[in-house]
Amino acid sequence: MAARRALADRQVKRRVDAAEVFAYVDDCLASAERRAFEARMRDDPELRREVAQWEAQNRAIRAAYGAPASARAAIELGASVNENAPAGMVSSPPARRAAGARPSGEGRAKAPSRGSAAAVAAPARFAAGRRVVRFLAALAALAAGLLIAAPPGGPAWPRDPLLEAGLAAYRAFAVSSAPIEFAAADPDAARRWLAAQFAGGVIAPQFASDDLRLVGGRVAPGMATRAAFLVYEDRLGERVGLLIEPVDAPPSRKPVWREVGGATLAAWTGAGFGLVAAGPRREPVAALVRLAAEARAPAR
Amino acid sequence: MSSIQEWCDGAGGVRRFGLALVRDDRFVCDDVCAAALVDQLFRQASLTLVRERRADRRLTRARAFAQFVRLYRRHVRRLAADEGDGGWAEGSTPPRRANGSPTAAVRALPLELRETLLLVVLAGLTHAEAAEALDISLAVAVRRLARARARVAAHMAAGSAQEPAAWPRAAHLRIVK
Repeated sequence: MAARRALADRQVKRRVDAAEVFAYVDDCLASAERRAFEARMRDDPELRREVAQWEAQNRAIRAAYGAPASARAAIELGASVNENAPAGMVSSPPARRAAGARPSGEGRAKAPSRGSAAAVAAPARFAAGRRVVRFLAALAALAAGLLIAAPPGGPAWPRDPLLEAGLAAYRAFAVSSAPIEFAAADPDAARRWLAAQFAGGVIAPQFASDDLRLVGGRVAPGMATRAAFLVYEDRLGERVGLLIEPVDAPPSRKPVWREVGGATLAAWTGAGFGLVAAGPRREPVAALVRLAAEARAPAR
Repeated sequence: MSSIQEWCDGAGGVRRFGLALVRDDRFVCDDVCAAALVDQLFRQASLTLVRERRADRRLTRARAFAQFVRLYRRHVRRLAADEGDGGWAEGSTPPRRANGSPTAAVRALPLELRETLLLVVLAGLTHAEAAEALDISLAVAVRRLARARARVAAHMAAGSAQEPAAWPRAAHLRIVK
């Protein structure tokens, strides 16, 4: 019985040791634990050999798949650091490892003692109070702005995110007083400008038609990323807008028509783009839909 | 990871992880097919994450990888069902000839072990994040990691042991002075 218990204890201990070794090798230990483990490793050649073995295996796998030596460091840099920054501005992975920096919050610094907690509590409470006041003030300002811009009972918003983006762009940039980011005197220059704004290319509709005349365009927020927004004028001088957003492999969808708050909208997807035509009346919007439908091949 | 932008920035890492994961020499046997499948899964994962973000659900790096893994598992289950083979998880992988390379050793792993090992070693997730991504406990994740590492080591050792063993078979070769 005792022998069985001793065997079970040894197995549990081996499992715990292996977990700790893996945690060290995979950089999952907090800085204090890491230091303690390294101290143990200094006295234990068997442990050193085991760690070296798994580290070598990690390196071999990363090298075989063309990954950087420290996969986690690469993700962090890709996620939060400007790749164009000079190398000196970015701390190297070994430096961070030596400093015990933890990316995932596992190895945060030890919590302060009770005395030091009391010492930092008062300024922290004060700062928190100021944050709350600032937040409430911002909220009040936002509410006031919304009341001025859109009084209660104003136009509703469509639920489709693409329509919503198109309507927002139309209301913000297609009104007569809105500035135009680039002039459309030269359609070719406009097309070149537009192509330069989108690395993946955008649909380039025919810029002149019998019904509509291009006024200009700009970059506008889309439903998930930025979009091109072209502004046209019809024969009556009314402005209509066309939002063109690159979308990753959308299904082909025929135009869906909606009338929201005095604006007529038509939204459809296809060929890697989501498009919304918006205007004050149905006729110019329909003309714009026809114009965009003619430009099926994107200028990539 | 706190935003879709960061998911897009980390796309290189996800693709690398995906290419390593899907290339199993069973359902996906060449790099072109692997790249096509990874592109498809990556798009699906991105769209799902965009939707989740709109629903105000917290987006973490582990969730992003978890979404990719979930989609891949579904894909593999479908393929296995098409083949009339229910065993797509651990224990069902046919034995492969060891050649000593790390990629061959990783491909020879069953899916459960392969995804755990690659999430930690290649994607750089912590053990806790990998467990979260795979929807398993930390203890199970560490056990899988241990099994995966042991198998990779054995596979690589067997492969490197085979190379010198091939020499004596060439009996027609003689040392000529």
